[in-house]
This record gives sequence, C-alpha cells and structure tokens, in this order.
Amino acid sequence: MKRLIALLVVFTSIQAQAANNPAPVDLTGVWMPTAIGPTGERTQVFPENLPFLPETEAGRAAYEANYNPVVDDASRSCLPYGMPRQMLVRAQYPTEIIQTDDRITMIVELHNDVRRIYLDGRQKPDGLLPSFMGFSTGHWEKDELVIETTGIRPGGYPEPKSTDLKVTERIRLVDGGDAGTMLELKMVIDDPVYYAAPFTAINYFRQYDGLEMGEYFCSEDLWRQNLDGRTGDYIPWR
Amino acid sequence: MTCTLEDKRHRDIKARILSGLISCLAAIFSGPLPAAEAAPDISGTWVPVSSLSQPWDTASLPLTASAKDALAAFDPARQDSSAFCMPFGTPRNMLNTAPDPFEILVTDHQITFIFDRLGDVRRISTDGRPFPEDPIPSWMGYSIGSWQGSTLHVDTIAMNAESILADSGLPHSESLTLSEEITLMDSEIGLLLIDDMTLTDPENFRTPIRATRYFQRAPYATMSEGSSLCLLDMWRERLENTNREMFRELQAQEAGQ
Repeated sequence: MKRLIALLVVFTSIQAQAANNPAPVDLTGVWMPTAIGPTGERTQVFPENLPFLPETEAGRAAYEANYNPVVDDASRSCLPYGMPRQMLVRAQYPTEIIQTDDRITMIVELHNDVRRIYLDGRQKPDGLLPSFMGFSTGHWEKDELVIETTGIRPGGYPEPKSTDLKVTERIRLVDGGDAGTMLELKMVIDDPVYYAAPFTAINYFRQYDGLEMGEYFCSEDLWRQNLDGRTGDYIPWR
Repeated sequence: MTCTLEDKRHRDIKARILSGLISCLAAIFSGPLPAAEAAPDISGTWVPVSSLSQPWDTASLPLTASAKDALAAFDPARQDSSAFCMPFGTPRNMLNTAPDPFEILVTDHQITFIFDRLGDVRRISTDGRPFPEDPIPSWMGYSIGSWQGSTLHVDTIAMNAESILADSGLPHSESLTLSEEITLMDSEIGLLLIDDMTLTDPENFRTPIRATRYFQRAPYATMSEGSSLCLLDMWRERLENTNREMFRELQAQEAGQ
C-alpha cells in the first residue's frame, strides 16, 4: 500500500512537472531551410514514390492533362502554399520562430504566413473553418517539439490534401557539424482520402550570423505595375 | 545602487572593509531604493478602441504645400496599398482604428506585432542595437525600442513612401521619423494599451504631428489569415471577372512563341 501511494505521489508529481516545466529547448530565432542534412548529405523532402491511392493517381493524371499554370497554380495568384507544403519549401526564404510561454509562433517569410502552435492544452474549437495554416497544438517530448495540425484547407497540387489530413511534426535541434546547430523537421502526413498510407517528409533549417527576416508581399508586383501605370484599366475589386 | 566590500581606493585591508561597510550601510539606510519598475506585460491580443481615438482633422494639420497637393490628388483605388492586399505599413497599422486585432509577442531581444488585417508583421528590436547606417526603406521601417520604467519607447525610421498614414491618403516621405511612447493604463473599461505617437516629416508637416491610439485586450479574438483572405478574394475576383480571358490570351501567346 505504501509503495502504491509512493508511486502515485511520483506519478502525480511527474504530471505536475509536465504541465509546469519550462520548455527544454529554445527554438527562438531566424532559420533558413537547407537541402543539406546534418551529415552533409543532400536530402529529399518527399519519399520517392508517394503512396497515392489508385483513384488519386487517376485524378492527378486528369488534372495534369488539363492543367493551366496561369489559372490553376494558386501560388501564381499569391495564395500561400498552406500546411504542410509551407514547412517543406527549400527556397531561400527564412522562417522565424518565436517561443513564448505557452505558444510557439512561426513567421514564414515566403508568403508572409503566420503559424500559431498552442502548447496550453487547448483543443481545436468546434466549427473552426479550415485555414491555410490549419489549427496546431504542440507538446514537448524530452527535447523534441511535437506538433499536430488538422483543419487544413483542402485542395492543392501536386500533393493533394483533404479535410481529413492530419500532419504530425517532430522538431528538434541536431548537431549539424560545420553547419552548427540545425533544426530537423520530420513530418508524418496522414490523409486517408488521397494516400494509402502515411508517409514522412523531412526538412532541415540552419542559422547564419546576421540572418534577418525580410518583407515578402506577393502582390507587390501587381502593386508596382499599378504604380507604374502598366495594369491599364485594371483595378482590383472593380 | 551598489554595495561592495572591495573598494579598490583603499590599499589598507581594514580601511577597505570599513569603507565597504560604510557604503553598504549607507546604501541600506539611505531611504527606499529607486523602484526598479518592471516592464509591464504587454503581450497578448489587442484591439483598437475606436471611440477613444481622435482621427486627424486633416484641415487643421500643419501640412506643407506638397502634402496638400498629394492629398488633393490622392486616388484611393490606385494609391492605397491595402486595395492590392499589400500591408498598411508603419505607422498606419498602429493608427488604424477599425476593430482589427493584433498580437504582441514579447521575447528577450524583440517585441513583435502581428496585425490581423493585412498580415503586417512589425519587429521592434530591444537588444540595444543601434540603427543601421543606411537602412533600406521598407513597409514596416526599422524600429528600435527600450523600456524606460514602465514606458516602452520606440523609434522608427526608413518607412517607405508608398505607404500612407490614413485612408484619406495623408502622405509621408522616407525621411519620416516616428517616436512612440507605449504604456499600460487602468481605466473604467479595463486595461488600456496606449500608443502616443509623434511623426516628424518636414517634407510634409511644418511641425511634428501627434496621435494617440488606445487598445483593449481581446483575449477571445481569433486571429485569422487576413492577408491570405484578401489575396483569395482578389484572385477569385480576377478569375471570375476581368482577367480570366486576359490570362488565357497571354498563355496562348506564350505557347505560340
């Protein structure tokens, strides 16, 4: 009986610690994606053969046959990639991580997007509309930040996604050798509507001296053409 | 106020200890130490209190002739960045009195404002750095802040001249400097975040102009994806109305070349 009580005490104190402990790692800073992994090897974001379901394969073929990049590529209209592609880009646009008490905020320079990851135990509100970034909650498992994201806006090629998509990210600091400390992102993408099985995507991030966030506003081209009088009669909203 | 037993002015060990003791006692009994006012916690979600904010009466501002001309010629459809899903820029993002929430994130080296309306992200460095020598003008400008007691002082330079100060088209030049004093105050309607702004821009204002904005905590406000929604609407509109044919033609031309 005494042992049981002692165990209970230990268990409850561990529970309490889990709730109150400060974050084990501070990820705050500006991070640049990189294809070169911690051992110096070139890495691929996606596995070679995505486990598309047969009907997805057929749908994809039909879509690609009629694909009009001018009209169909959302990124040409300045719409954000959204989750999960937002975290998997390797174009040289940094992401700023701001770690506060019970929140981690990621500001992605490309498309000027903001991810909010709640570590305060809250649940996704009922009826929350799907969004580009989805709804993310996180917790620490030792030195690893685990983030679960649902409520992501469906659609998007070349990697289609449905409202059933669930993305689980594991983020940790790793020794990148000459590259210094690196951020490793391993992401399990689970979408039973389009894929036969969950698959893992991977990305790495580095820090540099003097790396700072810039301003990225995708519609700046349109704005500038407008100021230069190159858009003719075109005025948005009219 | 310091108190040390290692006063180096005295070689004699006894004198050193005695002098140290005296300075310590003096420190203890010389009345209350100056209160080390902690920086208040301004982090969280805030929303403008429109009723308390006095928009500028443009006619009474000390405008220069060129500012008056720019104001008279202003075309909101073509010269308001927000119509193109571009940011408001600083300080229009702070001056906006519409009930659009913004978040403040406070970390050791930086205070970050994230505005919901158009996705403006404003970073205020609080790590003691000086201004860069020749900063490239940007929408948010370059902001440096420091706490003086319970007041956050923020100086901002290098705000690009494509941003305006108000819906009216009130212009500013790249030499605009913005000085802000940000404080918290208890009030009848709860805690207020107050931003006292002074704008100095001799090209447009004969004397500096001032504005004060009040913000209320909005813990239940949900931040949306404001800039994405703006772009989504603009893209739909472009597709559905004017530009679909134009894009098809353009594509046909590209394919024919």
